[in-house]
Amino acid sequence: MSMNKSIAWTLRIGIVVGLAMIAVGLCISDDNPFLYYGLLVLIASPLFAVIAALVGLIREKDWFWAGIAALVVIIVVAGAIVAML
Amino acid sequence: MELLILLGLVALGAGAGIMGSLFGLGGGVIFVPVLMLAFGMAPAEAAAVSLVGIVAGSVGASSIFVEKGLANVRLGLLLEVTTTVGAIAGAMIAGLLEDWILSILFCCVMIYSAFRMIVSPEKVIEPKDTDGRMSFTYRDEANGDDISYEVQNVGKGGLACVFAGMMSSMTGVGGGAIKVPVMNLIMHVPMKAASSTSSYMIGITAFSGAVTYFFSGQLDLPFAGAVAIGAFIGALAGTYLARKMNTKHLRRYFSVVLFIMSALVLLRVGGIL
Repeated sequence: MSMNKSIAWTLRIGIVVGLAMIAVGLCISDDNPFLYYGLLVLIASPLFAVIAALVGLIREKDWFWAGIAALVVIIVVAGAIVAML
Repeated sequence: MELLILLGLVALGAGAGIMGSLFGLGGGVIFVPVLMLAFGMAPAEAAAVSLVGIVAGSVGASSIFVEKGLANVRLGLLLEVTTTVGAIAGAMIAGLLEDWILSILFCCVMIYSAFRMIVSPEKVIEPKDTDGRMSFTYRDEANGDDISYEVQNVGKGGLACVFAGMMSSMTGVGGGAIKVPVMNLIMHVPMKAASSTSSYMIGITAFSGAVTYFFSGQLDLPFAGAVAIGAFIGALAGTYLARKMNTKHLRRYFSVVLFIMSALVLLRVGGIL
């Protein structure tokens, strides 16, 4: 599968699973695990897509861009951790 | 949650999704005040819900734009690095300048970009070597042509994105309003690719903020859920429009949105909003 396709499918799975859980959650009550984990899946999708890009670029042996993608993963994860501290 | 509120939030999310997918803008300047004024949310709660809307819109739109090759993943990742460097620098020097001065400076850049996009025609450089590191191709579905372009002035564009990140972190206004013009006017990336790439990037940028609000318990889950559903619907509509729209029209509408955003920021500076 090409890099673009694997990124697109990662995003697609994230949004479909996340929104399905959110929709179920909204039908049940204002505070339930479906809503909580659905939003978490949705919010995490861009991070998984960057990881998919990194894996795709490594598989293509495109080292310059793989380095950039690795840097973005580090920045995004570190940024989230620092902000949560 | 009352049905009317739910529908209102879905509609608001749809607006955010269209903005994100069509123009590559998060639209927080527009949606945060609406969430505060129409839904009575506190500023932090409104910002949190707005970020989730941005992520949902970006994920929905990018799942299509990336597959079609419209969103330039490589360029997006590169500019994400430079923008983050700027955002960190901005956070470090925030406080040295008054907020209102920064906001007015940001408005001036937005207004200048909007004028430039109206008066100067789009310039796309055909690549000399199609396998080059900065050469890319996508299919323009408005006319069925394959558009090849070579990204120009990477250093200058990267620096401009450092500035965009800096301004964004110091003023709270999203960087898409500067990044799209930087890609289009300085780096000569075709408008459709520039806005789609920005649409992909805003999801990555909003992730850090959204996840922080999520784990700090400041995110109103039902409100965020309703906005996310709306943002996805809006993103689907926006991606369809973006793919079919003529580039000239897209640039013109983008300029109008920049003028509106500038006006909203100025109203905020003046204490009216």
